[in-house]
Amino acid sequence: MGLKIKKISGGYVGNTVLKNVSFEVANGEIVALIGLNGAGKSTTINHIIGELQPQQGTIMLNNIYLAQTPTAFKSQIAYIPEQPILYDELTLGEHLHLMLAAHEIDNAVTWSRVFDLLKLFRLEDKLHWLPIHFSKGMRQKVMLVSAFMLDAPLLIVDEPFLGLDTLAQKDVVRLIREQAEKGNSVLMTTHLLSSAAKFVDKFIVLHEGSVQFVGTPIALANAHGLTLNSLDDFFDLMYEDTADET
Amino acid sequence: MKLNELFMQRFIRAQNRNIKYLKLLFNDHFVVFLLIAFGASILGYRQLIVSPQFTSIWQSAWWQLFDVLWLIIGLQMGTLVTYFKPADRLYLLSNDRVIAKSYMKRSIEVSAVYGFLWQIMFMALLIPVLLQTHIFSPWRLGTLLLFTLSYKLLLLLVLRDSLFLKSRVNILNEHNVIKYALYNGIVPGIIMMLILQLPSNFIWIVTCLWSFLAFLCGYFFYIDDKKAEQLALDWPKIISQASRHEQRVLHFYATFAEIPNQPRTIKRRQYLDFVIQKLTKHRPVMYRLYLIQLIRDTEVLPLLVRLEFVGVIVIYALKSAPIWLIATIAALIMYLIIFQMMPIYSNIKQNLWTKLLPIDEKTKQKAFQQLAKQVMYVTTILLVMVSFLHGWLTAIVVITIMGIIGIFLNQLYILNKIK
Repeated sequence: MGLKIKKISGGYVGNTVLKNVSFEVANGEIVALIGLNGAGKSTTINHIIGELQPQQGTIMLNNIYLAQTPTAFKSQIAYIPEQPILYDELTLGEHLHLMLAAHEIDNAVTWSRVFDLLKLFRLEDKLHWLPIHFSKGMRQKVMLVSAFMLDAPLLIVDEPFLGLDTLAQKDVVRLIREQAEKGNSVLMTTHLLSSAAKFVDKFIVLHEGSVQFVGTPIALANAHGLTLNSLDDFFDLMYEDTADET
Repeated sequence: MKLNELFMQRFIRAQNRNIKYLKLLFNDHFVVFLLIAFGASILGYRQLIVSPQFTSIWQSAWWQLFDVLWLIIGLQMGTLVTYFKPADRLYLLSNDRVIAKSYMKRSIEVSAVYGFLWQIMFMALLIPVLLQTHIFSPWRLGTLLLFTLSYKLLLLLVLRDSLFLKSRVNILNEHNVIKYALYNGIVPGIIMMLILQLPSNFIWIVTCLWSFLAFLCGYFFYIDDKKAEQLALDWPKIISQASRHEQRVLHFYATFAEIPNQPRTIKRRQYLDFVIQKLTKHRPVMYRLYLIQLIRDTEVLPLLVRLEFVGVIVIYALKSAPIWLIATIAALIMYLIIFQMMPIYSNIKQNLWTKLLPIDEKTKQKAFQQLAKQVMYVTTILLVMVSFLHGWLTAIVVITIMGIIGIFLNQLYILNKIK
């Protein structure tokens, strides 16, 4: 089970970005979607979270199809976007209660876990703050707390380290690992391949809207004559290949 | 692009935007409301003027204080229109001289036209009252108009001056409220009172003195090439002034029509937290979200309160009006209130967070309808209570009409709008 993407094609009106994209993220697996800008990573995620409707293909999570039962599908996902998105009028506490209530888990047990997360990201004394008073990093931490507190079967993280200090980055990696250990699937996008190689199970390389490679970090490194430490050079090689083709 | 022409380009763009929004505004049911409100106002004003029991009031010296107050309110209308954008502080950073000399000159010209139109409108509305007094004469009226127009121009010049880093008018800089009261209320108030009170033979003296003083002030504020070289713009102040003006314009249109991409601001309003807690107990999560936005939005809640207030006043004032007119006004107020609430739904719907919530569309719609229903109950109770003052029959007709309109709005209008 887990997330199963089968032959999806889609994108925006008048612009097909994804072409026959298929991949799977098994339960307890951490998968990183990688590629150059414009490869289709965000478009893929937007399809999975139901923001975009695919022209063809299916998206299924634990036997629940997004197209058929979107509410049941969404109740299984937690999403951390690249840019934090918050309601201007809700305090931090109200954001968290809203999300928990929508997932029908707004109770004392969950709240104690939420409080641990708030302490981890040093937000425990800011429950009554409105987003306008948050720094960019703090806003991102609100997104992290609101996603990790759900313990959702699928965690989607778009560029997890953006805007975070090194302490928070380490915490995020640990929390992602914890999610996988609990049996939840994790799908993330990143450009920091060497860092990601230390904790992801699989890389999926997207290139011009198609899946170009699926495999472990070591398999990706070997395929391009790189080591895990020099995996960040992968994009240089990819760019050179693209330039040669044209 | 020539910087000299930048203001006029932006002015034309702003007019095109105004035309677009006016089309939005007049395409809606607002026209019907406007026609009825305009007709009722003219009727009421005429009745008030010709009514014999008010003649002594118009002629009393105290009433002239109200005349002056009315004209002072008029003087506050029409601000400096600059059309500056936040990015200007970067792109136009090295052009202070050209902006001070040319751009701001155009800005004063356009702002003066708007300001003059406001003054003429306020004066025109006062003429019927002045005609009822002993002091009315075309000469006095002309002097009063000349004064308000020239004083408005001077106020605009003072405002322009305050947008430079080194302001040339440095009186009471530390006391903004006193400065504002002095320039915008006390000084013009005294001169207007003099024009109204002095015997006709003395008015020409006031006219000559004021013309001389206004000319001197105008000369003082004139920016020639030499002065322009020495002026530097206070960009944060300029941009905040321009943005406030733009917000006010958009706010006006947003009162009656849906204006896309209008930036929203939030006020915590902690003192209303108990209302949120009380009302949201055992309610769906989406209801909580809509209610919080209604309570903390700086646009919608004040607008609804104002509309309720205006509704109460208008219905109270329509003492001798036919029952059908009172019921129609009550129904229109209800419609405008619901119309103003619609952006709450669309704002929340557009937020990605809302899209991710595992809640189906029907539940979201029902929660919004629930909130709208509560607001309609409050409106109905308020307006029916005021209608009672005009008799039982009026109250019964108003409650019936509002009930019908309420059902129509909740079951058809809202559902149709949020689909």
